[in-house]
Amino acid sequence: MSNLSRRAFFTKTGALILGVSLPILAKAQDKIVTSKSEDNSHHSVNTPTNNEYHNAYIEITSNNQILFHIPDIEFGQGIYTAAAMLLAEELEVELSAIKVDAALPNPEYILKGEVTEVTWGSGSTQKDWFPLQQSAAILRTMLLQAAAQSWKIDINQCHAKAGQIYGQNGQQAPYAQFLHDIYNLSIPKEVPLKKTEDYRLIGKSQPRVDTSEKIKGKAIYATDIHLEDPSVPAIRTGLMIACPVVGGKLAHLDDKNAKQIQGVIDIVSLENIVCIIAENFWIASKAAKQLVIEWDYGSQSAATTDSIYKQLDQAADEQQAIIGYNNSSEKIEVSLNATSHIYNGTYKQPMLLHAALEPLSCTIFINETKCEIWSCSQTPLWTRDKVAALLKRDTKEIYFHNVFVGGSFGRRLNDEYILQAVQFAQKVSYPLKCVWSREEDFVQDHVRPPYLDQIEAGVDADGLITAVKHHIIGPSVTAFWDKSLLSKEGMDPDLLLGIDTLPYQIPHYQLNYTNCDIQSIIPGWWQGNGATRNIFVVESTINKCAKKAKKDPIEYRKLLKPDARAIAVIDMVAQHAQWEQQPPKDIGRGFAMAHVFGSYIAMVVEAEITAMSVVRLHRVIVALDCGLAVNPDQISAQIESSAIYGLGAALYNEVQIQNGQIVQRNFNQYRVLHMNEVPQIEVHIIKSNEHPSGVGELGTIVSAPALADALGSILNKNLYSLPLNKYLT
Amino acid sequence: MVELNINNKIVRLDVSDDMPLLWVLRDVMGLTGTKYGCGIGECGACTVHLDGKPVRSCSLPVGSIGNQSIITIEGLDNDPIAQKILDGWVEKQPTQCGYCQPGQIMAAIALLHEKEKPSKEEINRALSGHVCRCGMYQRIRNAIKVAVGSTEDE
Ligand code: FES
Ligand code: FES
Repeated sequence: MSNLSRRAFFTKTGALILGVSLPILAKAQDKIVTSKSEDNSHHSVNTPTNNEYHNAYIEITSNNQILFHIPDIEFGQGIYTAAAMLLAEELEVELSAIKVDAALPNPEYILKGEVTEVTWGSGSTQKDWFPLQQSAAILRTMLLQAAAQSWKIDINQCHAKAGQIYGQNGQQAPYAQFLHDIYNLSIPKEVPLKKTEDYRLIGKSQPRVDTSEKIKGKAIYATDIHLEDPSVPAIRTGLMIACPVVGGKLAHLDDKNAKQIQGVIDIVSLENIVCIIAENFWIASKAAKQLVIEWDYGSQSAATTDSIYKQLDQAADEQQAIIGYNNSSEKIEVSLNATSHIYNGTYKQPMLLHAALEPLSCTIFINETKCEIWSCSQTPLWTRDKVAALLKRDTKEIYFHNVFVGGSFGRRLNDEYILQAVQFAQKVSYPLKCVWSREEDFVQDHVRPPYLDQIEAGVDADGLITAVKHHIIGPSVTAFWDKSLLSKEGMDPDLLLGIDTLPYQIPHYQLNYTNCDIQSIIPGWWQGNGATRNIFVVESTINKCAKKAKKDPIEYRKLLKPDARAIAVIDMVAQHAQWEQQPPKDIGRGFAMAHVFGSYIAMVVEAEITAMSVVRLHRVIVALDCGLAVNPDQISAQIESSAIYGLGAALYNEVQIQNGQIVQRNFNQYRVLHMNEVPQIEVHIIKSNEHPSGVGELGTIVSAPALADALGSILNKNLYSLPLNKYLT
Repeated sequence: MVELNINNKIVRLDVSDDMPLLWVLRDVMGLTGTKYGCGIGECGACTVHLDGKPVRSCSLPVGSIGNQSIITIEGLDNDPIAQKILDGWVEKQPTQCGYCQPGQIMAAIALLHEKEKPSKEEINRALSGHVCRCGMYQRIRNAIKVAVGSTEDE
């Protein structure tokens, strides 16, 4: 036994692994334990302790510590906490007994129905819900069995509580005592999960497990890595400067003067990007000013915002649309013909930046035996495999550590910056911390592409919508990301998001799509993906038709026969927003709702336009049905967060392109909401025992249409294009 | 050579006068709790205290600091007000990705050093230059209110 790990490794697929000795892990674990004794508050560990591929998912250590190697990325949404709660609930341990750290990428972690390991689509809790609880329940049952055997009593005479097993006759022992015994047991296929009424943790707000380290400045992000091993050379800072035009190349580089600067170590370049390596960021940025770079901007150097919109307009006329969705066998023209009146509208949505607070970042060390990377990728396994291919090394030699990240909003679904960093790290013999200045982060963003949406909405004699022809014109993010996800006909499923699950009964809805690639931008996923764009269009259309029918927007929606869960959020938001009462004078009130990622959300926004034509956001009231709310306070926080993100973008944001380049380079040119500008936000959550569903992006999805409705009611017109502040001048 | 008083320790560093404090903290001292978000004074992620006042370390050349005391998020141990703020943060949970939080917290502590019970407007004024892309502003304000013993939330 002495050669075996003194720990139980439990994999996500439910296998127990009989460990060989794992010296690296043992060391790492000792470190965790020491830090725990210094600091009693529970916290997650996201430092690179997890350095061996072992498929472990849940680990119980010899000193009764639970280590949870989580495949999901924590970019703020609180999955470390929610997942730890699920685990603690079924394993019968305190939440504070669990240490969460980032798992290394591993095909074992791919869940059924996923193309790869991926954190996105507001889906983390939703997908972890069953597998994680089931794993924990199986492990607990086996520990009970082992205890029962060793105490020679029946399993029903044992129970588990707070990491201990208790026997009927006063026996008591920590889980760790039975680690070896459980290997001899057969693994139960399925164990019944707890009943809702027995939950200790689930459904009761718990503080985030990463709070302590994040508020003490101890949380490790990609550029905070220190390597303490004295045999490893000092980390150097590589400042990235890439061609600002998509498709451009480096034509000429004169680095004579830059290299004169003391502290500059190397200047290396790839086809379209230069990396200035220096002792620190400051020296690198000074050297950057001395570099003479000539870019060959290529074919996109004349692109402008206007030329891009013109391209969309032209594509709209060409009528080469494919049918993406159709809920009737009738021709849409026939259905529209049968209506009493048709309302047309063309909606315009701009390009957007992600503008996460942490710019892109990546630290890398490559030596003969391995390549270690500290960064954030929402698809870590893909990233690992791409790195392995690039370096022509075995994937087992690539250690990709998904450290904390200062926001993503979809940006880190693309990992091109990690591959760039790896190519530079390959050229040098020391660890390289690749940094992007804020300016480079903006100019290299994969922007939310621009879209045109044409709507023909037919209403019956009562003014109710009965037929909609919806035509989307714009790029496909999915096609850029992974073509294999397109349908046979070439339809991008993301473009249906929110439409194929509308909470209303619209007898005939047809969605057509005309693809229009914009060569001068790289299209990227952006918070709420297709639903953010679709819901703005559909909800604005419904609000408009309600107005035309002289009906209250809430009453109007109820006439569209929403399902019961939709009605519940409508009623809840109406009640809390005192919808029955007229809003105060000068306040515009707007409503929008959505059914997406399995959840229902309804939002009321109250806003004012001051005499100086400034928009003041007063109040936002949200009702949410996300199934069983695992951690209600953090669900509320996510809605607050995504609403602020969406309201700011809807009001102010539009990427401008000039000479093929993104014009906005820093926060002084890209307006984000600040503390003095945000509304009071109330989030009300429906009590439910349904399977948990998505939350993270829902606030963003309904923000634009709700705010457009509020401002439209003040301006007395329908607002078809974003950002909304354009209507104020 | 520049001599600085960082977290109550005097250090002598071989850096140029024009180097912003942020990079001295992060890249020379290894104090990585202070964050970089914009480099031009627009986001507040890099906020530290200079003689108790909040400053943007990305825009502060170390040559101009002299013997003023620099306190970073790592140097709050003996500050009872800091403890109250951190407790408020634990209670109101305004942390999501966490990247803006050291800066927000340093600004909040500096505010309470100045003013025992700031009003909502005073909190807004003191923190309105701090970007939180996770939009946790309302919670941050409530956390500060908790720290000063106020119970009413928004
Ligand atoms: S990094 Fe200093 S204010 Fe943004
Ligand atoms: S918590 Fe993410 S930027 Fe503030």
